[in-house]
Amino acid sequence: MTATAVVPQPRTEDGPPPAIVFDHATLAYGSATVLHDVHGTVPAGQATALVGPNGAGKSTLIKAALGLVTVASGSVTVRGQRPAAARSRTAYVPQADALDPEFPVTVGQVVLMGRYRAAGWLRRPGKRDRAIAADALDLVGLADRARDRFGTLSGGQRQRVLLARAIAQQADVLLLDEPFNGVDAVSRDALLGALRELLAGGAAVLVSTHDLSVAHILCRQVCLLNGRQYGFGPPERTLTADNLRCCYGAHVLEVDGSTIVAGM
Amino acid sequence: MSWLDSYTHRALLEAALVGAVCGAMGVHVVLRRMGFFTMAMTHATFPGVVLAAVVGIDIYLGGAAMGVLICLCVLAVSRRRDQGATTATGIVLAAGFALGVALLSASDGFSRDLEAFMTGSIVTVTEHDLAVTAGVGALVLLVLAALHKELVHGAFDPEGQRAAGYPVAALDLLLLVLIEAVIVITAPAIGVMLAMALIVGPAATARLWTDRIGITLPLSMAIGTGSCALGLTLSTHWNLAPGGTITLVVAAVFLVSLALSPHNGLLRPPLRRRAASTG
Amino acid sequence: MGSPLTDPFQVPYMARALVELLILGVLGGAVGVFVLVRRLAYVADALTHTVFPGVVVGFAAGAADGVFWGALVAGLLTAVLLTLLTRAPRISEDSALTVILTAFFGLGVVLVSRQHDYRHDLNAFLFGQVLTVTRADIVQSAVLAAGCLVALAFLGRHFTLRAFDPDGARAMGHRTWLLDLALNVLIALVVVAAVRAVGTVLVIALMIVPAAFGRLLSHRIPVIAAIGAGFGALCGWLGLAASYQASVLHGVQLAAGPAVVLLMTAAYTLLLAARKAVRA
Repeated sequence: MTATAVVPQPRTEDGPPPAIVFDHATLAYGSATVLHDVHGTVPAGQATALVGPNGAGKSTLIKAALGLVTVASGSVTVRGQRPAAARSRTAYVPQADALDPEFPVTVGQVVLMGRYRAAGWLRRPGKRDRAIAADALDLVGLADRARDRFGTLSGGQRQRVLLARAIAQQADVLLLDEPFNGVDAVSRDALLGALRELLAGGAAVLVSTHDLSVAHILCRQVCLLNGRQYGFGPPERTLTADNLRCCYGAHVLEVDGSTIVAGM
Repeated sequence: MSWLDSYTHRALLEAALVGAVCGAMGVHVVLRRMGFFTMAMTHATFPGVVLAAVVGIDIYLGGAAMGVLICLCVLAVSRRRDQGATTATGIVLAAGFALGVALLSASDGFSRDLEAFMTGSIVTVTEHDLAVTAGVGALVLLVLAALHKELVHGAFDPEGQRAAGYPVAALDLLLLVLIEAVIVITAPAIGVMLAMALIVGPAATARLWTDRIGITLPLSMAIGTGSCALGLTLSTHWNLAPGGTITLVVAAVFLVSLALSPHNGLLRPPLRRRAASTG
Repeated sequence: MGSPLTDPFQVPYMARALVELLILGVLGGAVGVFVLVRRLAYVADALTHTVFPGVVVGFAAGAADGVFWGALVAGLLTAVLLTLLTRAPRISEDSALTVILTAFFGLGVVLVSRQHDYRHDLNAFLFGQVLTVTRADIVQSAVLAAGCLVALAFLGRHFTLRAFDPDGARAMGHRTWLLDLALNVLIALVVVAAVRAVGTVLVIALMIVPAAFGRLLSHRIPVIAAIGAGFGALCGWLGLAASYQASVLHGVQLAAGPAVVLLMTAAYTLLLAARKAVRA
């Protein structure tokens, strides 16, 4: 076997164990394969960015880590378990835009939803759960909005509330679907700050994004996708002009020495 | 002695006409997911029919007028975003139905006309009814054919249609009037409740077999006509209520298609089905 | 003498009718809020029609007592079918519901046409017979209502999560189809508890209008449920009194079910208009 050098192995001495392992995973909806042969490791205590154009399969990969998409070949493991079995260790942050802004629910209730699983099916969330939820909301800087209706917040603030819900789950693995899409500068900074705090606490973060600068400042690893994997590793090695040109087609420009992707 | 003198012949012709018109109308109802809305229209037609029967004017005309009027209220309420179209439709449905039943209870119970309106009586169809069905049905089909591409465009992309300068509200209103007309000509044959089955069933069945609207339309009309004829034959053979029997035939055709159709059937490749249900 | 709002209920059958309507009003308002947030108004409507064949078969098999069990079987069967069919990909929920609804109703019509007392059945199904409610019926409704309310107390927050964010609910490990089935069964139980007493007209309204009324006043689900329950019960009381006044004192036949519904929709419309006026 010549490929042994790149097979991800659970590291024993030089770092924390991997949170998510994609081992030549191929993912499909129906008969249509969405993503071929993803291979790499998301370590604990680090952020990994999923980068690629629309329809590249970023959401599919996140759903695979949640056990919501069938793995046609290869495997996906979360903390050494099947993804579906590891759900109590993972927290998912959906796109705020996908949720109904008219839904009758307050910000505080949304964050408290993160405690439902820990509280169990029949027990109501108690004092401790409420305290955890309140702390999580504080961490994203929205403690004063707990009693407002979710839909009255701005898009960026709603995204922060959903991150707070994931924080309240006290999970080891966070999966975020395009959290920086259409988010204002204040909310962007708040999201980045909260994520850094979680990383410092040892959580693993897998975040899909259009925004290459986020990948550079937050993530130590990037997975470049478009139907298949174009690179998985440190940003400076993955986000090269050549890789980006392969992944995005012709829409890649170089301006002042940095690579930008146009026409997404 | 003409062919139409036999009541079985009249019934068969009425069933075929109604099946074809409902099948064509249904394609648009299914395309726009207006099943619940159409259901609300049938209920909203009810008080108009009762009122017309009490006052003594043509019950179908009265029903149609009331139905359209009440549906305009739905459109008004559903503009409120925190209430939503489903809730607005539900409220109008409940209110219309209640108004009808209240008027009915105040006017001393069922009259013959009203019972016919609820469950239909296709075997007592007169030549006058046939003429009305044929005339109104032809008009509906004509309008549907003339405005086919505009209606489909509006169903697919209402914003784009508005941007392109079409009178979208007027088209929506026209569609409402057409649906109401179809309900009113179908009601005497198989009843207002079961008219729903004939509007949605064949079109939904046709959609299971093809994604192309050009094929859906004739297929739906054929399924509608066929189901009506078959249902009527079965009902006279075993002496069952014709409206109910036709409805059961429509449902059976749908279920068989659901099992067998190439895209959605239960017989398609197992891997595909599993993945689709988790995704 | 007392007021027109309390006097009618000194007659025993009116008192029983009142208790039944109060129970159903509270139940409808509480379940209704989830019908509202999950946009299941059509499911509720469909269930009121699909219990019809059950009612017919039940009545044929065991007279008045059979109706309850017939409706229960038909209601639960529909709840399961609805959950299955609405999960099938590429069939719109709207069309699937219409087909199920009309098929069941058509079956009811066919069954009824084989019997003689046609109009009576259809009449009872539309109007209900709230004035002939017995003590046993009330106990039955109360037990069902208590069961549903307990289930809501435990499952309500999960229903909310599933309605608000289905992907998130799945990611947290909820089986959404199971939650959907549970809610459909709850709606079916409300329909079964109510349909014999108050008829189809009132059942649909009880599950839709009070919650919509509450939604206009609050954006917190428990508050909406409470307002809805109170509103449903209040309208049940006032509607029953109005029906009595009209029928007994003024000689206008006004069935209780429609009276309650018309009162509810009138109050809803007034509140809607009032809010528009305040905002303008």
